[in-house]
Amino acid sequence: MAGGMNGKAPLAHPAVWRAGQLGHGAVRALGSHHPALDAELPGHGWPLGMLTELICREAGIGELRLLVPVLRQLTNERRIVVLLGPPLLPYAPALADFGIDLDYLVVVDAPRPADRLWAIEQALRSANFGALLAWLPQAHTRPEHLRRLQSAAHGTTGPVFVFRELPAQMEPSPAPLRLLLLPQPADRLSVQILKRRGPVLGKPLSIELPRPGSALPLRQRPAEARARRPAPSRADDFLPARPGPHGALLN
Amino acid sequence: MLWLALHFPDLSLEVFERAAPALPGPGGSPLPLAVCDHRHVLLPNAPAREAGITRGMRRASAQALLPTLRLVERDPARERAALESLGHWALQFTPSVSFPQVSPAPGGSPGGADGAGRGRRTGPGQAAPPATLPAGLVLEVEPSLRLFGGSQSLLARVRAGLGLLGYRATCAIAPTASGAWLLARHHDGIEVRDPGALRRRLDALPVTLLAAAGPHLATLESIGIRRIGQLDALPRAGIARRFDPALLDEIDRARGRRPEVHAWLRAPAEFSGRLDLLARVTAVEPLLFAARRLLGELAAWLAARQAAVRRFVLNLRHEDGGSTPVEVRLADPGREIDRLFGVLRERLAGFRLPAPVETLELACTEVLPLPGDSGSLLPSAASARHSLGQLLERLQARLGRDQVRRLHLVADHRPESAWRASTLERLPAVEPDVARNRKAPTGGKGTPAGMPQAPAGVVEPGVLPRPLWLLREPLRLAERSGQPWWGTPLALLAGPERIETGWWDQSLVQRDYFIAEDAHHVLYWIYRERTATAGASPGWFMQGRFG
Repeated sequence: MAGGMNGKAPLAHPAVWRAGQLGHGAVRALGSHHPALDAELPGHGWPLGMLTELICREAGIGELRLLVPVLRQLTNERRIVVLLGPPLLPYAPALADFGIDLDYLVVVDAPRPADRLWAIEQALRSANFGALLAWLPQAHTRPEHLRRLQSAAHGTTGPVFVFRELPAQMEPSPAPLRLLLLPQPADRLSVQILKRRGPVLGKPLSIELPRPGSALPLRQRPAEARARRPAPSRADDFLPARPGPHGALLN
Repeated sequence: MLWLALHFPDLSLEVFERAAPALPGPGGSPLPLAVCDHRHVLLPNAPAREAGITRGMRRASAQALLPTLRLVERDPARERAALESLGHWALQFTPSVSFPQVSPAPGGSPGGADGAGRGRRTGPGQAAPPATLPAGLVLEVEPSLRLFGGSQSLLARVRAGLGLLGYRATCAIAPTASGAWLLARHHDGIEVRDPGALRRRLDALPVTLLAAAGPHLATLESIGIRRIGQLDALPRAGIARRFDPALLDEIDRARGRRPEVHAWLRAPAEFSGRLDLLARVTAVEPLLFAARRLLGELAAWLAARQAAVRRFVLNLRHEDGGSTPVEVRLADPGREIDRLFGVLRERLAGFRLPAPVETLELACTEVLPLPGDSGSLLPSAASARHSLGQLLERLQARLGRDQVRRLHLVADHRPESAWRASTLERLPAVEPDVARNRKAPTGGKGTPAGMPQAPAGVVEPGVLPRPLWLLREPLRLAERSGQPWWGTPLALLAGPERIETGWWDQSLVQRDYFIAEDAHHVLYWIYRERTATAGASPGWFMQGRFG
């Protein structure tokens, strides 16, 4: 079929794509284990050799849980995952509960912004990690820092995730993939793709976050919970706690 | 046998100058410096020569000609130490290294390290100088030529290495050691392979090069003997009687008619390097320059002993006698100078010197045997691990050793104690053939001690799942109308899980844990302190976040 007639026919060269299509061919990618997300990412997964910006209001809304499946895959393949400048302490029992091998996880703290940017650039240049998760210092990151990091990220063999705070969504950035993450009820995360190699995605995706191996289904929403929660001072406080039908809370 | 001789004509000056690239003089221009003995100038440096100072000038005239000239007394002890360390440095090229054999003349002629053979200034009234080493080395290089790719490439490496250490040498290659030594002192870069060519070359050399000819130069000149060839043509018995049997000895050794005896140098069992700085150093940059010289010697010693270093200490000695040790550790043992220097530079970035530094000392404490790698065409997993190890050691050098950590599980019910972080010492295995079979416990090589495998559900069933993030300190929450409050009311979604433990080590924990959600749908891990225990009053606290 002549490709010129039908605008939807694939182009000859993999590195060229039409504006209305996702640019799959030029990007090496690592699957994110979220099918709804992979369908909308160029290359069907987290891109390698470039920065992926994840913007969220604060730490702990679910951004790390989004990456847990790919971290589990990488650490089980004996590739090293580096967490650079995490805002809070990564909690080892929870990570192990998700199946991440702690031997292959390295946590680097760099309190000063200049040191942290230097460390991120050094890590990108060494280029042999499984994945790099870096939290950029908000007030000290300028566009030229990001350009430098983006050019240093060429040739990395693992995905590079850069976490930034909400004001960053208004600033321009050279990262080819930018996602805005907002929490949703019932263990879901709203992922809005701000920028990607392909057409603009109008509505955000709602991704279900993974649960740990020992996860229990959470109860329904607040009205019911308020009715059940223990009041501050009651005689129950002095009873020994045990799992099971103790108010049917743990089921 | 093929010998490479190295002659260091400027050794007396280089032992002072090599610690700094260019000593700053008055007005910012390079400092003119000259080495002298108690009466005459021996060796001026380049800025001094440009100003007109020459060798042999009296001290007073030199000082009058150039008031900014700095004169330093020649230091034979320092030269000797430098020659020995150069000898140990040369052991990386061949195991047969020695000082050139110079037969001592009975008149006490200065055949020593002041430029042997040019001893015009020996007069009858001068005392015999102490026995000094000739300022050079001879190396037996024939077996090494193949490894280093030929004589020219070996010479290039030698010159580059000496440049790194701060010395300049003139080199010559000849079939005998004494012949090479004479040729090196005459001219740089002569290479002679064949004994006949050596004879012709030696015949053309001036007799002033012979160490034993020192006291007799005037006599030789008066009878018209200027070249070694002419001296060799004279009757041997006459020379021995009239001049010195050592002269004949020297010529015979150079020609190969007489065997040479060498005292081979051995690499010391432990490395220790020392560099005295001529000017007091207060900034880190000049310190790094000088430290690079010492690291060059360390790298050569490691190469000679086929070892690699894991930890070394650079001791900065101050003028008041105190010293500041700077310890550098490497994640993987190594011996390339660029890598050692890179880690040292990161370690000293931002380092504040407590006092001006006068002397640097380098001691190497952890040394492991490490044969060289054989080259490989394809990048391997070993090289990938290598570069990641270098990244981590660079990060540790600059950020601090404790900032690069690994996480471990601890069997404790108290959440803040159920984990610990430890400084990253060694990278985990990356190669796929290391026996850590995850799929089925083969019972052979098990997991490293104290590190449980990560099965599904480390947390016991029946308890709440744990959050991915832990706050550094539990955060007290306000309470409104009986409900915990953090910006918005927190609704309790799961719980309570009662943790009451730790009575044995003073950090008693009596808490009910809940999973709570705020109005923005963020999940928190909060607890309620049941009673007033040491350091905690009753109330709601937030300890972690899910996500």
